[in-house]
Amino acid sequence: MSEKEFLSQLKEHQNIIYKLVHLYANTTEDKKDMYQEIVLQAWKSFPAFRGEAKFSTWLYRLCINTILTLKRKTNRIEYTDTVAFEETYFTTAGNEEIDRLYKSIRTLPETDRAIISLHLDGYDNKEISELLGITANGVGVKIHRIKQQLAILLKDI
Amino acid sequence: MDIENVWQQGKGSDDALNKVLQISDFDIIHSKSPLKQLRKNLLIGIVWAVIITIFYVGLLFFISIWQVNIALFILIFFNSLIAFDSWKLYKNIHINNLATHSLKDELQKNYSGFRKWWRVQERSCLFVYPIAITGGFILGGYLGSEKPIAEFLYNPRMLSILGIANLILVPLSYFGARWMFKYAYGKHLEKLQSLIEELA
Repeated sequence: MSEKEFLSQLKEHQNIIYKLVHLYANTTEDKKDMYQEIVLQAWKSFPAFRGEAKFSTWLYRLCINTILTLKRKTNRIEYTDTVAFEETYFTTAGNEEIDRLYKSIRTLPETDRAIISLHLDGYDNKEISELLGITANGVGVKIHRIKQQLAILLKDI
Repeated sequence: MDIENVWQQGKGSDDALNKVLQISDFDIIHSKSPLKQLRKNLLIGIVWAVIITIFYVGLLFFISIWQVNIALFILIFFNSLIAFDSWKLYKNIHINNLATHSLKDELQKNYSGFRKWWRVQERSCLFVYPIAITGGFILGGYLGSEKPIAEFLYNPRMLSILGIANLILVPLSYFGARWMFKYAYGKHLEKLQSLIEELA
């Protein structure tokens, strides 16, 4: 597979990278580091990609594993009325609901953010359990709990 | 708010991502992966272990005090063991495995590998440091006093000083080594442990 084909696949699925990075990056520098690290890891891991899983699933796993093992400035941002989100991340200008949802998810523990993003992107519990290495039952319980937390957070933010 | 629908609307890209996707040669990207840093730290440790071992081997040719030679043999053996163990761990840390293993497996593998490696070193330290200190003491005392070894060793005052030196230097070296391990790998291991706990 050539660099050109790899890039074309990556560009087609860049939304996965974009969404996940914005759930974890705390600063602009973090964001750039994550983008670079993900693309580099994807490029180096791509020769081993056999197409047994969908490219999107492969990329999702790579993004989560890369982001969670990468150093960041701080682990979590606490939102208060006086602390503004560092920058407006989403190009869907004017859609406050998306911004509120991301802000809420970003207050969750790191692995919970991965679980809920996989769930919201349509992965079932079995797929999530395989990607993260936890039981499918555990995933179900966590998703239920995360959704309850999000409901509360979305009321507050 | 229907979070599923809202999530699906969050499509986007930004300049930073577009810039990375336009890079013509990915090999110019400098990886900031902590795994890479850990591998680098391990490699530095291995190189030092090899240099020190070679130094000990060299000393064997110049020193003809059998007590010191025994200490040197033991140190050479343990240094080689630690270098080999570090090399095995170094080879087991795969930076480009991030797309093939589940997150928990990857984290657990790295965490357990480092803890096991450190436990072996920690236990070895308690055995090796007194030998290293005693060997160094005998050699220093012999060279400094220029007296026969037997006379030097059977001097009760010297034996007391050796005992005190061990009592002070062994814990000092042990805690120093622990501090260095924590400094080099601690933060990363804490992060791994907290992520594993989150996934439990």
